[in-house]
Amino acid sequence: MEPSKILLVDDERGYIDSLSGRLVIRGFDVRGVEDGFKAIEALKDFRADVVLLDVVMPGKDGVQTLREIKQNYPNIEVIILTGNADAQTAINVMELGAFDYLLKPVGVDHLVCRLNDACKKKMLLLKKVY
Amino acid sequence: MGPKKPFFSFVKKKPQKNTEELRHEFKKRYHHFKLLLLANSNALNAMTEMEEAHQGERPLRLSFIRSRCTTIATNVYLMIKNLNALSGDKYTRLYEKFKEIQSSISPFLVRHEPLKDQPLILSMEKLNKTLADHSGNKMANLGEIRSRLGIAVPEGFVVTSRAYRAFMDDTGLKSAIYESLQMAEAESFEDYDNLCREIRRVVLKTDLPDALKNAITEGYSAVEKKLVAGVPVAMRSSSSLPELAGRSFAGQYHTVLGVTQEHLFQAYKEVVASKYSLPAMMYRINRGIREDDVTMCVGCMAMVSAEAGGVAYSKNPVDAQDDNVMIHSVFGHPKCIMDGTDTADLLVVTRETPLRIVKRDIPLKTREIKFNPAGLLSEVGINEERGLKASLSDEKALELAALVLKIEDYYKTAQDVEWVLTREGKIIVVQCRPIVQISLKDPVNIEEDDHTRPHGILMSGGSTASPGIASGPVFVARKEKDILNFPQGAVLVAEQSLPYWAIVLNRASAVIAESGNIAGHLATVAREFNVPALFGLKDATKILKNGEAITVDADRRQVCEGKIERESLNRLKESQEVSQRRYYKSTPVYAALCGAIQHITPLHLLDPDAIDFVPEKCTTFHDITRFCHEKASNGMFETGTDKEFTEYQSRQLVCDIPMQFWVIDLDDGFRERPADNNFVKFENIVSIPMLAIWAGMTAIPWKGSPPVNLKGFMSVILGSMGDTSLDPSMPSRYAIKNYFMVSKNYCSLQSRFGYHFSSTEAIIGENAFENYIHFRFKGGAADRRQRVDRARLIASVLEEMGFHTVLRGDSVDARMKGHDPIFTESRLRIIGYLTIHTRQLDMVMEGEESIQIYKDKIIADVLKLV
Repeated sequence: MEPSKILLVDDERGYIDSLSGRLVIRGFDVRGVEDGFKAIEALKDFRADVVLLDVVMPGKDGVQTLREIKQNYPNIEVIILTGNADAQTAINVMELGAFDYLLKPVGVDHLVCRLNDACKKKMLLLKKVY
Repeated sequence: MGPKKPFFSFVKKKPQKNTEELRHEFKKRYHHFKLLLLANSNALNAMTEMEEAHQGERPLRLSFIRSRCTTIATNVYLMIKNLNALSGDKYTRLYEKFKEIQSSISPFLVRHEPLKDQPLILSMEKLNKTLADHSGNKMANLGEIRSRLGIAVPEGFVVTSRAYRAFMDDTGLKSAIYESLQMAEAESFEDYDNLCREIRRVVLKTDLPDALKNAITEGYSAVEKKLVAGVPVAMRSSSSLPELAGRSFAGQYHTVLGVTQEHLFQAYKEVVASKYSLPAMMYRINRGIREDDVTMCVGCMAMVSAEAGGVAYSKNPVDAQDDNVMIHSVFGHPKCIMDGTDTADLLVVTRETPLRIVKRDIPLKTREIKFNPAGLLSEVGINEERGLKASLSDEKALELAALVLKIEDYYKTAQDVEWVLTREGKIIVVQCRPIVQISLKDPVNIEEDDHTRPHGILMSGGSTASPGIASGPVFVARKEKDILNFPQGAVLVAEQSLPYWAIVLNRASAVIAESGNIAGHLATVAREFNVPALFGLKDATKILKNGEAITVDADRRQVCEGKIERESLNRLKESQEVSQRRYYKSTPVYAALCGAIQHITPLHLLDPDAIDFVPEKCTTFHDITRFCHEKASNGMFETGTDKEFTEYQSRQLVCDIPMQFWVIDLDDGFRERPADNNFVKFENIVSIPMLAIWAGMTAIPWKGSPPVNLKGFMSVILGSMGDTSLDPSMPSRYAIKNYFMVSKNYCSLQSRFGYHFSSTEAIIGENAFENYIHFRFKGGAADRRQRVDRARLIASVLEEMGFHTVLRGDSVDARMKGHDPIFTESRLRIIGYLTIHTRQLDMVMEGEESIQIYKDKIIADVLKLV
């Protein structure tokens, strides 16, 4: 089976590098970008199953990026991964269709579970038999 | 009443679907069910953490409360979303209830204070106490005594709260800091130290907004115009946190002295960054102060060349019986008093007029701190002749005492006043704040009998910086790094009474320093924390050995060998713990927790069969989770008992024990599809949690009902007569049969044995994070007291086996989460055992003794299962 594709969007390069490394070991195909503009651009040729998205980023923030992803690629699941512990933001993004709102620091096991759940949901929506 | 509408409408409404489509549909729904279960488990787990924090046993961080509230809100929302996906949007009303509840929680967690119209700086002439919110308390107090009492204070201005907000909000610093605090998993001092360093680094490298730079420059130019061009200034914090006596913040923040124009911005940032000094951070955590309550206003005041300086108290801070004015004084700038690095003169003045000096304590002073015209501080040695002279004349001491009493009279509370004396003989006040006097006598009157006192006196003398008596092992700290490993309950022994040591006051039993005095910052904070402190004990770091048990009697100014174990001391310790808890519960952070938790954890929706088990009655997040879980489980169950949907239909378990169970396969709980639609063989079950429960149920044979006396029997008869809900002829959803709903990693067992009802739900997979067990037990046939006793017995066994349990009357609710599969299976076997072996035990419950007897037997049995 093809590995699930994950687009990781976070303004801290160090975070992208360390998390990508750990997700690749767990069998994911990961690409990392530093902001919302680059994320939208990357999705044109990288058909991600799930986008892991930070909220507070310079330029286009996570909420705006989520809105655009959901408009253009409704089947891509988006998991917010942020240090911003704000329930109102969490509710806003859930209403925009985010799959989950996870707070950093997150354990890799936990994250992998959520990524698998999101991938599974996407497959079920697309009626793929798994 | 018409037929009940099926929960999963797809089964009956769309008969045209073929088996493959139905199977796919069912898989989708099961997926939503699993997501709902996971969200439920996450939400309940975070609620448990909040409830534990609510006990008030340890200090809390606001970021902890915010993160748990966010996790709970997210997962409750996910539950609603998945329940609606499962039920065809049958429960959209829950979204409204969710929003109502969330809007009740938010005000406790986030503060929006409109400051937009306030200026970025305020000059000293404009300041008074009504502006404390904008200027911080220190600067507001100085402005107030200047304008109201005509007392001399330095020229200067304050960079306001609005300016702080502009710096934090407009540059993105606020979110960056907020995220760092949220993400930090700081536990040790070292973790906190690293976190603080990182935050300070980010603050210092961030550029100030232009408008703020212009305002600071203007403020400085105005001071130059009044005094002299290039005048050096001191920049010090002026926190806008409401001022409370007994909450000093002494020495927590950085003061930058000798600042000239080119360094104004950097110095401002240094002071702001010191909000994240390790002592300041630990102080906030230990005192339960909200991060967002601490706004760093920064006072910018012309430096005054000091002939002498110090601290004066309008009353003795360590003896509530003593209301004389205490003046601590040194030659030059009084920095060494505050940071505890040198000894100081003490002059005691009566408060009755005419004022007179009643005590002079003039130790040898070895150095003085001066600053040159450029504002740079330097340390100058003092010869012995001068060092033995008083740094303040009697005349000036009396003038200062009068001034301090004037401030006390104005504020109507005892004062701590920092002052300097200029070359021209003018007394200038650089800070004043309220103090709390504490009593030398401890609250439980330790007996005076000598034979219970510890053995040899190791050291004596010094001065009582904070009263009390305490024991512990010696921990000698020589440099800042040492303190990061400070053990709980040790006695801190150091050369100097540095303010930095305050970070361990929450875990130190006592403090000893070779130098320092009661007017220093460390002494002030030690008194706040009720930690006995003895300063000025020469050679303490040499005489006292690391790890050696000692007793510090700060009241008698003695250090004795050994640890004292006395009933009265234990009582003292207990009373200190009680007052500590009382303190935590009085803090703003705890208030935020209480405000939020009232809308989160209380559970009102208890009975799923009650008429008010509806979305409209959900008033807390816990209610919503209960409702969603119940409706979703019920929905899955109804599908399983639907005769028309044979593939997922319930089947009777073919097994060797003389009990009847039915099994519903939700996904992959059977090895293969059973040939018979009515039965499934035990060998065909592959559900890991079901097999674990089963193993526990069957490992030790049940020996039948315990012998019941006549009283037990009668209580069953009487109880049954009055309780119609126990009539087995009245079916409620799972009441008639014992059902397992299973998948490979999931199992829900609803069982009813006679008169009690129990439900077990568990997930066991490779990922420990998702694993959980939730067990509920309720009811019984005996009278209420006996049922309650059985519930207590079960709860107590489960607690011992690592479950988190909640006991309400005759019901037990036990949860466990996040363990590896092997451990979770072992605990599930215990649940299986209890499900069978606690049957009818309520009938033989005869109070504490019987609980203990059965508990011992049960523990002996279950230990064989783990």
